Amino acid sequence: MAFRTEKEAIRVRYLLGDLSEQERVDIEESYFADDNSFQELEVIEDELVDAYVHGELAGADQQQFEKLLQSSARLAGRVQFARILANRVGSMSPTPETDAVVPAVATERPARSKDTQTWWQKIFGVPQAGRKFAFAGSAVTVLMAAALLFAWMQLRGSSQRLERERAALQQQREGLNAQSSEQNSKINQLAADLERERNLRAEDQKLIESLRNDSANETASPSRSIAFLFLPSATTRGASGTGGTVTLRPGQSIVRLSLLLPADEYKSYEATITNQDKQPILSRKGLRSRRIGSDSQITFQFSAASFSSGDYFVSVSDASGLETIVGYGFRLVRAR
Amino acid sequence: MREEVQPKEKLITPAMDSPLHVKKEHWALTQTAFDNLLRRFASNRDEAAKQYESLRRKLVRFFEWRALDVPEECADETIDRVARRLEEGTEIENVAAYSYGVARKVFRERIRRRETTVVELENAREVPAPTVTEDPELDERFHCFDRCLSNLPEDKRTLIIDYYQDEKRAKIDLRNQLAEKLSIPLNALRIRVHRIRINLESCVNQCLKLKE
Repeated sequence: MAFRTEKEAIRVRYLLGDLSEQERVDIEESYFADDNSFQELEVIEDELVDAYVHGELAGADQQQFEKLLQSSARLAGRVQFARILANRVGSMSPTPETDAVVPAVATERPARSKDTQTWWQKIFGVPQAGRKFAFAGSAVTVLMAAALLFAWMQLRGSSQRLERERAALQQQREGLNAQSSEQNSKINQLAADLERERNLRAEDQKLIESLRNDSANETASPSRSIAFLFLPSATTRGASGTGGTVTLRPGQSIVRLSLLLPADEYKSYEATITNQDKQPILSRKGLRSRRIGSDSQITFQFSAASFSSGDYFVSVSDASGLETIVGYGFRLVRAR
Repeated sequence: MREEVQPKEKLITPAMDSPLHVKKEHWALTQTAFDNLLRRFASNRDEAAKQYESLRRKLVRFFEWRALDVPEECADETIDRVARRLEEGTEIENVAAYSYGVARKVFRERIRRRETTVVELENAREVPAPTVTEDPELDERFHCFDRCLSNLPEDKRTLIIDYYQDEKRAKIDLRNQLAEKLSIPLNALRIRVHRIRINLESCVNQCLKLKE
């Protein structure tokens, strides 16, 4: 596909998603500031779609375009429209007024002097009376052959175009099949993860049961080393408040903290515990959420050796630590 | 009396008593906020509506060209945020440039969300491969196209037919001649044809919707 200026070629690359971020921003700033620039870009999109439909895109551009086509319903609609336009308008005769325009091309050619011989006169010389019929016959034959050749070339062109379209469709189909199998393998992987999570949950459940039993016999075995705290109700962003209390009995040094998430939008999270003076005491990164029924929660445990009795605040942020998602307050009490 | 122009495709919630006290994630565009936004475009409401439509179109294209799958939703989210800033009293000198900045932010957020989206395991199903099939509506498309083309004014119909006669003649030569004939530069011709094409395309799409 040949574009008139370098600027247009860059815009084609923009539409194909083929530019650096800075180059994209330059073009976008320009079309947000200027309606003409935006309209030019839309015109170039028309021409890009037409070039694709006529099989005029270079290999890499065609592939890139087809990639976009798979993800954009609007673009697919535009391609469909361009095919109909090419089919319908291409099969219509140009208006007589345009026919009148066309001879102007012929007049631009250098005028031939009247006494200049035509190419067949050069070959055969000036035709004599006896040759006239034979020559006329030959001329008709040549014209018919030319017409046949022209028709054959037209057919060949159409057939090649159809072949290109068929190949593009085949490629598209293969791409979609590949996507589908990739998706299926992802699902299998996720199903395996789910199974693993279920097993872990079952183990946790057993552990909780066992701890409950231990708790019932607290006097008999007062020195379990882990204390549990579940903070079910997440407070709104940045807010604080006491959501629960964990009591550390003598000998207990580990706290296992489970936090219910209001929404599960990230792959991993960071949790930070701060004291009343907002001094960070502990931070855990790379925490992954677990789904329990329709809820998601993150769980981690920490040594409470350096924690004195008092109120604490846990903030949960995304993996980068930049956006705080939710906060929980809790109270830690050391039993004597 | 002339009817007031209401820009298309924008859903506005009934006015709220105190939108400023609504949490960020629950903020919704009110009629007052929208009117405020329109006033920033132009004092004449028709002109303002035109500029609003132009900005929205640019936003939709921006998200499409950046390959997001819900461009219209993203464009509306951008407009909502700009309207909210205006309502909060933020000084915005150039609404288009400011909207572009907000659109980039929305884009980054959507990309981040897309990357972290987890397939709902409980509802996971095997995804059947989409198949490319023959278009069963081809005849209807042709029918709609012919009808829309015949409904175009004569001069526009002639122009678009002549412009796309590329299979039969040298495309560039013909288009240059058309531009000369109309006494306009080639670029102006391209834009003129583009506008006719957009109208034709929209007419065909509407015709197909009616047939559904």
